[in-house]
Amino acid sequence: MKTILRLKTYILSFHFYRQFILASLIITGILYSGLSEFKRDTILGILTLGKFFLMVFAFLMYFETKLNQELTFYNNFGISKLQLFINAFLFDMFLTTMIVLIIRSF
Amino acid sequence: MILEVDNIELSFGSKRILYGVYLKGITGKVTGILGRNGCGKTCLLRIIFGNLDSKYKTIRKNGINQRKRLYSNIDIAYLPQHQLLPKNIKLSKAFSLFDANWNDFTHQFDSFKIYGQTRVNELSSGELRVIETYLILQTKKAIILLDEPFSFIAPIYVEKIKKMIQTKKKECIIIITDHFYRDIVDVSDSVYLLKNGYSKLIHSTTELENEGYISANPQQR
Repeated sequence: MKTILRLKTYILSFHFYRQFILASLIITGILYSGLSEFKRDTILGILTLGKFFLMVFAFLMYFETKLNQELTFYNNFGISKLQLFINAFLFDMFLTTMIVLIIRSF
Repeated sequence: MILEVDNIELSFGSKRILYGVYLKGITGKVTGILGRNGCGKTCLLRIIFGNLDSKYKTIRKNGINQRKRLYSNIDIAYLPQHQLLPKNIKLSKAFSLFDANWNDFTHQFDSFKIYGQTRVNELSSGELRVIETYLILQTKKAIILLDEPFSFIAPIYVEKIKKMIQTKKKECIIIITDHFYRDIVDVSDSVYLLKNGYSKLIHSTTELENEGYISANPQQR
């Protein structure tokens, strides 16, 4: 079965993403506090862009550094570095969207 | 299955690491790789696994050229030289992810019974190495790559792992490297020596002496 269709891929991707949750929440908080006057969709758009750059930064940190070694664990389950970061970004955007929607509902 | 690795060329800057490597692995056989520090053993395993890009490479499975990274097919497992498991993962979770049975493991390594709910970062490097080697060896993959599985671990565990390798080789290709050359020679059906960027099939320890990998004087080994 292809890795993209395996539940284990997403369990492992979430496990990988967990280390970025705190940084992500801080960025969400900072950006949101500066954007609270804007419309919901504008806030989500800017947050998406911010989170995208966070993931690109994290991706580059893992490029040919010692951190790269940690990815061998995920490679053993057929998950590539790119797939891992794309999944982490999707988890992050889901979490961010939920937070914004909950805050805006009050 | 027959795995052939050929035409590998790898350089770091102006330093050429590998440029004349041929290696063959067969299901039912263990292929050992020996070589001095920095000769490219780890790089070779990483190129086969697919997480290191080389300038040129030819990897064939049953004569068919493999263009995709081997790990993307999920039929290869790789024990790297460095720590495999993430620091914050629980052993129970790791065993579950690798579809391994904790009771089967502790049946063979009974001193680990107390670690069921332990996190990886609470173990010593030797204990962790035993667990990682076990997890990789019990996977149902067609190819298993082991990079220094005997490092940091007690002799009693080395013997157990060697037995596991002998049992496991019946169903997969095993390629192994380590600096404990006696263990590698003992466990392998064929041994290659990496030297000056190329590989050479070794038939006896005398050849290892002639190639300067081990001392001709047994007391200096």
